[in-house]
Amino acid sequence: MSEFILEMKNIGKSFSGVSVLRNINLGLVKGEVHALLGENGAGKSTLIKIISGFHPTEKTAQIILDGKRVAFKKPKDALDASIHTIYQELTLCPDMTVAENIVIDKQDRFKGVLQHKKQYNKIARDVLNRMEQKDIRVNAMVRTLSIAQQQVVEIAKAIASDAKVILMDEPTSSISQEDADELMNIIRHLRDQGVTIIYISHRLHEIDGIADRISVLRDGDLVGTVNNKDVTENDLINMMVGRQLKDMFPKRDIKLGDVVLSVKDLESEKTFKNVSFEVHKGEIFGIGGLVGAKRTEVLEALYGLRKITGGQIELNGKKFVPRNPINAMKHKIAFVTEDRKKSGLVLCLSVMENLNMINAQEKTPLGTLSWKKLMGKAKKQQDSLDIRIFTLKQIVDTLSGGNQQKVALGKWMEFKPDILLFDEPTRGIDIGAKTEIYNIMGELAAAGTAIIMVSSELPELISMADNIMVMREGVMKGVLNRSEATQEAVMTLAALKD
Amino acid sequence: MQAKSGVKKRGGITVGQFFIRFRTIIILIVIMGIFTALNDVFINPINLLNMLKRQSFVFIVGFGMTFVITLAGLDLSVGGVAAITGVGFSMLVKGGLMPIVPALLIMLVVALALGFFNGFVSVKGKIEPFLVTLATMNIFRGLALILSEGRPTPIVVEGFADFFGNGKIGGVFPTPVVFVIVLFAATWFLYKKTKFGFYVRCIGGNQEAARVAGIKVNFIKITAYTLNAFYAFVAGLILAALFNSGNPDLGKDLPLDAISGVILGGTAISGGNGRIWGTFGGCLIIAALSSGMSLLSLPYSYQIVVKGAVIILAMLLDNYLKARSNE
Repeated sequence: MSEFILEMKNIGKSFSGVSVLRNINLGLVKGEVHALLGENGAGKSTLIKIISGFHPTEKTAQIILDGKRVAFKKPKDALDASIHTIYQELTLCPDMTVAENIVIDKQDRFKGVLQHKKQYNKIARDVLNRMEQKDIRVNAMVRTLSIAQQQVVEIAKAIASDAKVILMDEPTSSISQEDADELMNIIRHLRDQGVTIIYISHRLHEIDGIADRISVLRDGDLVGTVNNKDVTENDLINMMVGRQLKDMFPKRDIKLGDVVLSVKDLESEKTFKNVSFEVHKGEIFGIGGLVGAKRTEVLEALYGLRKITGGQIELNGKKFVPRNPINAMKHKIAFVTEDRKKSGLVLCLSVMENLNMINAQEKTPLGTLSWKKLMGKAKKQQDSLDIRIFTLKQIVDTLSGGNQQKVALGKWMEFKPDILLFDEPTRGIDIGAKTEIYNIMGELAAAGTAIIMVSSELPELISMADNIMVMREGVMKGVLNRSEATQEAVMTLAALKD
Repeated sequence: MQAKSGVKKRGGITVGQFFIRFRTIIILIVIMGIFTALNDVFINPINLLNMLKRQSFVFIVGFGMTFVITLAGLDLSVGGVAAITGVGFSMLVKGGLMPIVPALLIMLVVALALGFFNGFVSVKGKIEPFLVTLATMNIFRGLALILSEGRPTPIVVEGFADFFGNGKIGGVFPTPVVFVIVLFAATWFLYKKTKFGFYVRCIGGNQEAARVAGIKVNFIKITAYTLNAFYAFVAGLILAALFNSGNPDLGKDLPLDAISGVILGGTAISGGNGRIWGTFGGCLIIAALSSGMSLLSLPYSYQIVVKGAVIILAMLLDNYLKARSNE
């Protein structure tokens, strides 16, 4: 009997001749939280897909579960072996109840052709009680739950199947700090009950708080597995990037210019109200708060995507009512959205085409295009932003998160915005790319652009912003300057009830 | 000497990728090969030109439909627009009521208005284009039947049938084929070389991203449906000229044949990715099937069964090849 519940030997994978994962040997101890760390493209996703049966187990590889050698041909095989994966994109049915979602993969437990609502509800209630999640009603529609609650349901679904190993792929990437803390409690709870958890995240401080052991991947190799208590965050960064990262947040010292944007008592019905702030030329202005604080909605209002029902906006001293994106763009406002896949990029088009999507001076849609010139423009952006691709004709969907974000930002570079609305600048991208995005922000600010940045990552908010407005549930709770802004100060404003 | 950029990569393409890229032309060659084997009249150039002429309206509607499908939409009403065009024109010129040119202009305006209506209702009313045009398909067809009282109106004016239907340029090229070629060139230009074509692809690929990027999403969409009605207008005139009458029943297969052609050509129904040359090839497949089966005297009922089956087979082949090439 080996000491490991799940042991992987000699795992490798190549796609069309390119090896993305080599000779991985990894063992998981029963009841541990094992963090998997690595930059985008390091091979984490591929490893997860192998463990979860998405990629068939190769003949040379060995997966040993509870002392028995197993091989997966399809995801169902992994599930049958009690290995469950919680993906970043949740896989629940929004128009079914919590209970129905929890039993959806357990139909062979029920005989006959009829539904067993009562049993479904009982199973769901039992498992949620076990996880100490009493706020979630088992007959609530999943659609009505928050993202964080949906995640809990997803975990409950795995637990109700007696999962031995649960893989979590960046579970905190789209939930608030508060919910993330709650998730950490759930994870600890599960660990104490003997469930083994593989935890993938970019957030080092999170891993520091939860992991027992940490395995670091880099460029398809396993750099090493370490005990959490033996290493510092800096050690981990070094293992991940293979070089010393002097400073994760290269904040530049820029003298702030005149006020470009002044917002007074801005209100959007049923969404937010009493929002007032000023932004200067060259400033990075942060907006902090928990999920549901309606920060994105403020940016949308400034960009003409959301109706403004009260208050006023002054742009360079002149009254301004953004009617629609085209109108906002005429006033030199740019918007890089939170969800680059949903509203930032056209995934099925090429890098070159995405980089050329913005054409502010355009009056008429007719007019011929010179693809050669557009290619030249795109090439310029590619070089200045260091977008790493084989060719500009590459389809954006195939790029890593960091490169995608650079494209989403890059399409605005030629436009030279006076105000850049930047929603979650570094969500879901690796540390190296993060620093590069921060550098680009610094350059833009130095050139006089005012950046309004919504961010859920406190270190990023505190390190990069000159001033931070904190919101809670649609109401502005205060503006902190650089000397006042600490994690505690921001969290106090963001989370504490009056 | 400096090496010119744009050297084609030769290596590195798998058999599967090759088949995916050239599948339209491969299917076309196979189908043409089969018909030639069954009856060698099929491959005769005169027969082929005749085939293009007889199916010219499918190509023309297919060109417009490529924009609509790239926008992740559909337009089922093109047959109705074509019918109204033919019927309206025939009634306007009946008994010397009006010369040809003003009648054409009036019907052009009417057709564009119908297309605009499709786009406007879909965009402003936030209704799926499929549903809007499902409704207008019947409305337009019904209007054509009401206008004509259900009967074909013969077109007797000089020159019309020659110009749009039965004339030949240089004694060889039927005028409808010339229309196909000219409109193909114009469509290719519009799709590949203008901002309109680019924006259509952006919107079809991700409408939200296009909106944030300041693209006039509604305007472009309405324009595309209006433009589509223009193509249907030309198709309607060719149909009327070929049959020498304005017939309210003409063009019933038109939308589905054209959509089939576009899909066979590799344009994704999910939007964002259109292929103009592909549409040409796909419509050739549809034309070859119709013409080849008619040559073999297969009844219409069998013809539509075969056409449907070919589309499903082509899609299955597509999925199979894609799955293979991803491995």
